[in-house]
Amino acid sequence: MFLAAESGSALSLDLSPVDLVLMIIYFSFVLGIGFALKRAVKSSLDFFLSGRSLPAWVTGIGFISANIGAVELLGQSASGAQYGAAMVHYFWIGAIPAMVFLGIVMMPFYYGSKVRSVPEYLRLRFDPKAHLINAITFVVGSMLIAGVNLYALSIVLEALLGIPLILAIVLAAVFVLSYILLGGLTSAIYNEVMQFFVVLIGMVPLTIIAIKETGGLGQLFDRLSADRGASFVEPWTGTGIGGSNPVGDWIGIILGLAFCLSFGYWTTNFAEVQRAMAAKDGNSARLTPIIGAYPKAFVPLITILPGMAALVLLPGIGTAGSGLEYNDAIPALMDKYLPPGVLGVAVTGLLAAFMAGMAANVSSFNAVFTYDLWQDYIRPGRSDQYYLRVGRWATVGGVAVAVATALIASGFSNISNYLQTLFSFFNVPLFCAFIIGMFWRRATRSAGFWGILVGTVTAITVYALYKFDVLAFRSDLQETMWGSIAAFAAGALAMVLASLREPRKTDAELHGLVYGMEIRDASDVAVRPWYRSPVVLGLGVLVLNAGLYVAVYAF
Amino acid sequence: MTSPEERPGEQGTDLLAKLFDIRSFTGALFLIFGVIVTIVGLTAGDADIRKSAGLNLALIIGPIMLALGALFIVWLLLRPPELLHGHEVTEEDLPEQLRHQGLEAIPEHPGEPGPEPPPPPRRRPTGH
Repeated sequence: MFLAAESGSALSLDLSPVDLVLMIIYFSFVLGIGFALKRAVKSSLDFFLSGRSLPAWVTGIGFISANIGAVELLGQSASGAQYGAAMVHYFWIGAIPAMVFLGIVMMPFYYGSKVRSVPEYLRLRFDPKAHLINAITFVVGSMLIAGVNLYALSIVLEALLGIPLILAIVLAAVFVLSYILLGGLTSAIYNEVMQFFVVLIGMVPLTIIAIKETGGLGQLFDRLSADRGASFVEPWTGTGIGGSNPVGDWIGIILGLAFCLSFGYWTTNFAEVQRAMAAKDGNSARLTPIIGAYPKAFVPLITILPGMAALVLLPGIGTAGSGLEYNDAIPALMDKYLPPGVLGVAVTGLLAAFMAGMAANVSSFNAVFTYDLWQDYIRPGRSDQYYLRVGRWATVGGVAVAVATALIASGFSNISNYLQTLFSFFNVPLFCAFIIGMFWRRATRSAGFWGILVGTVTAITVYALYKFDVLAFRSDLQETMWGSIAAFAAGALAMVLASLREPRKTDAELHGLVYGMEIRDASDVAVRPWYRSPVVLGLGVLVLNAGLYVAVYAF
Repeated sequence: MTSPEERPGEQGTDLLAKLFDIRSFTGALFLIFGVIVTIVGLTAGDADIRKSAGLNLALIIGPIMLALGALFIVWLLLRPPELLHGHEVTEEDLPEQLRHQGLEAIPEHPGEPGPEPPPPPRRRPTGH
């Protein structure tokens, strides 16, 4: 959708009055939630972590919904049209094992230690250097990416409703600002839950109709296979070394995409982990990403699949002169097939998804800014009410920066791609610091800083070598996979070397933070029925995943 | 974490607060959406039906949303929500390593005697 502005995509939706009414009702509910929750915010912990009070199904849906923004809905359907079925790897071998791992293995350290943010874990486990590098890059990154989300949302508003771009940016920003100011994280999460169901109701019928119109799944796959080769519809075909699968080779997929990139994103991104930290007890926190993993397993069916169907249903999409970018696949299909009423629900879901993406950035930004920068380094030792006020002002400031970024992005639309690339360099080294910090007690204070620094430099170096044609890869996707493997390996090596020349931390300093010293609360050690057991549910979703891979080959 | 049971008198006194559960919002939203879209479906013309592969999609989606909305409301009635109330931050809410560093304003919290010497760092907090 970012690309739409560049090419002047001509897509606009034909909305009827009833569609607009549905949209207005939805957004009144969004504001209503903010006002209703105002009275539940009494402390900074209520504002930033929902007072650690939400049930697992709410945080679980929030967890997955925070991620169903611009990237998921439009980006993944665009990738489906561009790269084909192999994009499912990003879900089934990428995201889901990472979410299960976060829930079963890592969550006791995050939740049990009572850290209030992901950077705070680094501060306690390592030292302020590692903490600052993570807190600052996260704060800057989430503000800028909130701006990019805001810009994407405004393009949709402009294209679909004819609202001028600048007005759309300000309108959307004020909206997100007001409901987060009122209800804090709880407001953001409640909206994510509502949005999740609206997106579902909008996207599922679209997929069903798209498949029906192409003559069924078997026929669609046969046709695409004939046009573009078997590796376009079979995720593992051509993934040998030197093969033809556009996504890459199997080593890159398993080690790079699954282990480094996806684990890096899902287990260390505070915008996600924050939802689990808002859960009411240890077991609910562990269940959060696992409950989120079940719907996540089916997201490719409502994103990648319609993207692939669009190749048949919208002839010429993605080619010059058709007026349609790959990014337009979903809105264009909606316009073509959804009748009044249903179209309103679907477009509402789309807008809500963009808004939730931005709200997730803002609500995690203000927590890290307040706890990790303001409280730790600028004004420590004040009362909790003081930090609650700082958090509210930080929200205003963060949204203001996001508006500025969105306005800049509207002038230089490529900037958003560069931003996403830039901040992706930090993810894998961070994961390296976390996983080694959690499982190797011997890792010392400065190990975290050196691991993040060396890993990030390595990732940037591999990327630069690829851009200057020193290293060759099949696609940008394959480069990111191998770049992450290199970043992880270099980061791990740096951590080991740094640890060898320093004394280890004491057990008291590490209590709750490392393997073998987890703090588990009563909910987490009690006997639970199977449907509340993270391990059983986690294994269940992995089996489901394997079944989905098999199902793709059945067609 | 303070559970409602520990705050006698508060639970059930505030009817409005009880309504502020995510299930009541989602349920109400889908009931309204369901009614509107079902009506649209009942009045759908041939062109609308031809548009969506010969299905009267609004008449399928509308009732589904009605059912979903009803489901949330029934769930809400069967399992009334715990009150969502804000709570003050105490030392217990912080990581062990940070207690008695960031929260100097302990006397602000009613019922607590004020700053105490830090607990022995290794003592595990018992389940709460």
